[in-house]
Amino acid sequence: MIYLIVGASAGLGRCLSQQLASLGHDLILISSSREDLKAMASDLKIRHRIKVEIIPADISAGDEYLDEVEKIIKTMKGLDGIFCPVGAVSDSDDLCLYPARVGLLTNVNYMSVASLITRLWPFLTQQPRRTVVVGFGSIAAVRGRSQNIAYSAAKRALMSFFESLRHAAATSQVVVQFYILGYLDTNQAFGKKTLLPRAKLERLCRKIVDNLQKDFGATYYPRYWSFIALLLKLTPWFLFKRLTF
Amino acid sequence: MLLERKRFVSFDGGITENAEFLRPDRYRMVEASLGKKYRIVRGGGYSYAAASFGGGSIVQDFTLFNRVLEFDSQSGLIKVEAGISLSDLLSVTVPRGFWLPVIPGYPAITVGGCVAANVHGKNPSQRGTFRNYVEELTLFHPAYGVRSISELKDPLVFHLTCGGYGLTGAIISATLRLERLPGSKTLVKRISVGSFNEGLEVISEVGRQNDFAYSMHQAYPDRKIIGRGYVSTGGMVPDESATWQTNAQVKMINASGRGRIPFSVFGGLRTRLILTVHWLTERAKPTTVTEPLYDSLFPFVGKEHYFTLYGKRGLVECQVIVPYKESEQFLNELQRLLLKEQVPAVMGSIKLFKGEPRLLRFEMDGVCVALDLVRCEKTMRFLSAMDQLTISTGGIPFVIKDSRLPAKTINSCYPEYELMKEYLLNYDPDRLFRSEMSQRLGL
Repeated sequence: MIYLIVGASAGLGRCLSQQLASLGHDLILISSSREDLKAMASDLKIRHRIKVEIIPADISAGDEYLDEVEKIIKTMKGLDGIFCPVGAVSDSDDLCLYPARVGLLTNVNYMSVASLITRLWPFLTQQPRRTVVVGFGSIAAVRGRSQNIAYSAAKRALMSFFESLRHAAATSQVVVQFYILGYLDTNQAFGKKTLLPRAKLERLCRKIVDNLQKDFGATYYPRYWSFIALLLKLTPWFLFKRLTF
Repeated sequence: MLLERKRFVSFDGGITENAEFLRPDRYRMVEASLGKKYRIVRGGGYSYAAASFGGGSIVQDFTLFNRVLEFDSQSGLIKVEAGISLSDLLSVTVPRGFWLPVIPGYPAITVGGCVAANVHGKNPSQRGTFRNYVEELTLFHPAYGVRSISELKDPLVFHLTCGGYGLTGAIISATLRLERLPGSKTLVKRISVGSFNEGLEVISEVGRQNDFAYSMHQAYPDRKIIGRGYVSTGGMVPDESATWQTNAQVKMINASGRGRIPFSVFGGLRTRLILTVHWLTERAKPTTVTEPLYDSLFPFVGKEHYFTLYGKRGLVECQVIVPYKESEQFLNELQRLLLKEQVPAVMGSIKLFKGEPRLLRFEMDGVCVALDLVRCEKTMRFLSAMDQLTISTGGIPFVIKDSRLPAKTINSCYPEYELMKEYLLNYDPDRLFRSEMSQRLGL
């Protein structure tokens, strides 16, 4: 199998790349840092004797890199899945955020992912076997609040996009999955006080890899977040507006 | 860059300190400016001394820099990031028929840590120390940026870094010279000995013909027990298979997990009882066994309870090299002191050593003696006497193994102590990289 991973050089993307490589899958890795990608690719090639192609690109800076992606997919003769563990947050993502920064957060967290999947969709539908698209949302998008405003909005848009994608893929061989993530043990959450423990990346990645063939739509990880999300949605406004988190 | 606060403890349990730390996973995070803030890099955190935290430094956890960057299966050169553990490294190289002949006793120790402490393996008289297998290092220091150093290109910085305890900057990657592996199994022969001196005699006889040779002795201060033990010696068995596996139950211990028992199980008659059971168990084992390379290289895997039994207060290890000609006298005096003071010693070990002393690296021709003791007041008094004994016999203590070593002892034992200080100050006038250990030793 050949999988494409966006945001592959750190955190969840890196862990996923390692898990997929350990199973012998060939990889196309995209990340903004050429140096980190080169290190990742060398490591995976040497350890697992697989093919790894890298595309250093800032996906928020435009779609030009997608030409290169298409070229590589054609060279590798197909694509079996896309993983999009990509995202960005800002500590000042409240109403004081500069408009340009709002644009950047929207771009990284939603538009660039939607754009990539839309462009590569034909490669997935052309395959004679099951293919997969995996997106990653955030618990922050369950109900809007005064922090992480642009980030949450973009992630909610992404969730809606994946719902539509799943609907569009219903008659095809493409499986569309969306993980709504709670706190993870990555550098994105590092140094921040979190209300609940951060989940280990390795366990999440094992679950993702185990679930690749399953058509479950969207799921929370860790699972207890589904209960918290329900509570948040059901909290009456007069109480919700008093919450500071 | 966001920092977290965390409580760090040295592996021996002797030093505990709260410090800010960060966990870079991208190169740009390593190079990101921390201004003039003090910092120190941490790998596996297995130093008995506090070499990877303290001194007001921000701790940079490098364990996510654990990738293999280049591997040449012809020459055996491998370039790895410094945070890769020894077990992880060997899991890549052993199936390809290569190994690193200098491997310290625990698999989760990182390559960066091995370089910084210039560690030794199971037969330093034959294989030397870790620096002998370092071809090149990539080092980052804010004043110099990222640069490659090698013994040929930049000998001073190379020697300041190999055995420099992380004070010259962050080691990002290391190119290592691997050796061909004749097989992935070892034939281990265990020879029973009755005293430290007998152990030394046996090692002197068998050490030169074997890949590894070391002795383990019981050190409980009782004439019937003290010094009895085994010399383990052996080498690789040529075979076709090159597999990296262990017979032991692998459940890694770390510095904070080591102290999970609130009290020391060792002490007084309890030590005697444990050592008697240990002795009887060891005697029941066959004297010659063939075992996986993993188990020979990492004899403490599966026996981690040895360290946890010392409890939260921890253990003290002192490791010294004394010149050959003084070794017999040293061992006699050591035994006399242990018996006279009734020091709560548990285990000891002996290896032969060959090396070229320079700066503060733990190397010289002689006999390497290590002793594990229960941490208490009596032990501390004994160690002061040990320091004097080491000085008087012309020996050197290993600073990474003893978290209480005073600067005065180091100054007396290492002729180039002042030179090391001077070099470090010239290299980095701000002395940005520092730890509790470097501060204690006045570096």
